[in-house]
Amino acid sequence: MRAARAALLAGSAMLAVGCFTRGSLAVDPLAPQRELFERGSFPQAAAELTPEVLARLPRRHRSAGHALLARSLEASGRLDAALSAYQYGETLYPDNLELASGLAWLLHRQGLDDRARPLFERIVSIHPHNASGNLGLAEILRGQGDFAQAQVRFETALSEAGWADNADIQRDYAELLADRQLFEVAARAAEKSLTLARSPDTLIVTARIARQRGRLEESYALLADALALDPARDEARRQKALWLLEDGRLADATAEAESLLARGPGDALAHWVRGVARARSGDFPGARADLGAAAAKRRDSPFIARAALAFLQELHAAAD
Amino acid sequence: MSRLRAAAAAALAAALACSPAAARSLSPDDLLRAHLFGEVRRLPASERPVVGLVLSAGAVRGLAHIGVISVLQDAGFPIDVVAGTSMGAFVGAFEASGMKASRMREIGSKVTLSSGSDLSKVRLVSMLLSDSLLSSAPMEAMLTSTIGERRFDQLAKPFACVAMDIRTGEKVVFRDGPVATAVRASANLPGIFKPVAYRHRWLVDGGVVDYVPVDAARLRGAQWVLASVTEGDFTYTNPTNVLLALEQVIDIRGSLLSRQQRREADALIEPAVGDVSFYETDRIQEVIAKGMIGAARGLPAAQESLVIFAMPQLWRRWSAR
Repeated sequence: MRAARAALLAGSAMLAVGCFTRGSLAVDPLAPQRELFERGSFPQAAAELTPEVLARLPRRHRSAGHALLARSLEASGRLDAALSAYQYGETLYPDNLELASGLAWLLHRQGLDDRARPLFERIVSIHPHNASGNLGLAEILRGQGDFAQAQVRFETALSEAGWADNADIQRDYAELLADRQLFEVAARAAEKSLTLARSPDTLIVTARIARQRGRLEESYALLADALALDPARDEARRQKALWLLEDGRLADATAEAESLLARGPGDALAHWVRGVARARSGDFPGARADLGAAAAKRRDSPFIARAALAFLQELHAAAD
Repeated sequence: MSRLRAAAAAALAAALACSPAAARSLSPDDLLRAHLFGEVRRLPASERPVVGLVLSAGAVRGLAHIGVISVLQDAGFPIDVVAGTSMGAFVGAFEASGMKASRMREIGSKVTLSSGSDLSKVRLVSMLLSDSLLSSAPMEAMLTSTIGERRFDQLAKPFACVAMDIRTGEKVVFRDGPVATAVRASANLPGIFKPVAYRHRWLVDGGVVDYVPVDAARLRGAQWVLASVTEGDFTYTNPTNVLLALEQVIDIRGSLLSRQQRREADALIEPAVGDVSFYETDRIQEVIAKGMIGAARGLPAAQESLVIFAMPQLWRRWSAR
């Protein structure tokens, strides 16, 4: 994450200096603070960017100074201070895309999409192809259920140089296409993501897409690959257990549930899977025990608990 | 410069993608919801609960139902039966006719203040001076031009819409005959439009007697009902003219009805459109977007409710395998 934050600095700074201002890289009065940031010394970089230092900067570098301060605070984990710095900088320099973009992303990450969306919209109204603005809008629109517009925004972002080679963005794009039931195109985007970086996240997404295309064995193999890369990834085990149950492979589903229970005895989903498998095999006392355990997990897994209770009622009705 | 820009974009993309917002991992609850909702969807229609979609009244606010339907269609949410009142009847007729949400959005975005009738200021002043009411016939023509001259039994899904007989105060539920006439009656705003003379009744907007017509959906066979409610927040308005005062009274009556009727639904979607007035056609895109946002937020709870309701059918299916 630290490397990613340094990359964010490098990228944002280059965008700001190289693309959005007429400044020269040769005379950068912010060079010492940038160097601190690039080394990962975020608190020091923020501490050096005092109001006095920012006020003494040449006028054309001041917006970049405010942006660097905000990014340093954000990278230091001081999100409230970063938000204030972005907001102040954005008020002073409303046309600065770096500040607007930084503020919009921070708001989005805090779940404040109602406030982030107008900022992203302003960015793309100034630069319709701005990849960061389009990507931000794509994420927000997807969360708000507007998959068609989210797809348009993703595609605009991906058409910008360099962005199509980002594995995580290709993965998110693939997930969105799957949400839109466009499974063949989704599979191609997922494949592209896997060729760029074979991460457990992408393998799980690709497995889900494979299953939606009816390629059951491929989906199990992809989940196995994800688990080989990250054996602690219980999401993949739980997904596998549910698919085995769905496919009627009750003994395999039970075995997978038991491996989850061995890792964490209170796993509500594992109890659900084993409980349903037992009920379908005719072992009603065993099923009731597992479903009772799942139903007790109201605080951690409220839906699993509700579903387990509802299923228990069915079993009681069947027994009566 | 272009190489610099490309490198910068790649670095920024890498950093952004590492942010917590980029990776979406599913909780155990999310996984089971997706799994069981998929199981319910795969049940043959005859073996799962009959799902009703109920669309409330609300004039321009009711266009949020288009956003709601868009999200439901994308999610593959089963909709077997549709019922609506007023604008809910309009959008409901689209859904019952089998129309795609993208087409509904096209139609919705073209709605203007004069789509239902000539509501220009000159016309409204002449209406007041001549002590007469406007005709809502253009509404019927507009619906006919989009779904054709269909009867209820020619729709893709069972549909019902509600109007009120202004002479008796009775609720009239339409479920047969020409769709466009019934929908026009359901959306025939009292005080602005002439009552529609139909089947020996004088019919006006059903919103004052059945704002959220859950019972109409049940009448058409719905066993589990999802209601999209676009209730107005009348505390926003300080009525300063005849139209706004009329709207205020209808909104207050609608809210009182809605409080009771929403309890009859199994799941609710409530787009945040309370501050939109009856006539704000310049906010239609915003209203549709708010419908999508409301539906995206309400969808997981609706899926969970349907799954729990369908548990007997799921168990029957599993035990038969």
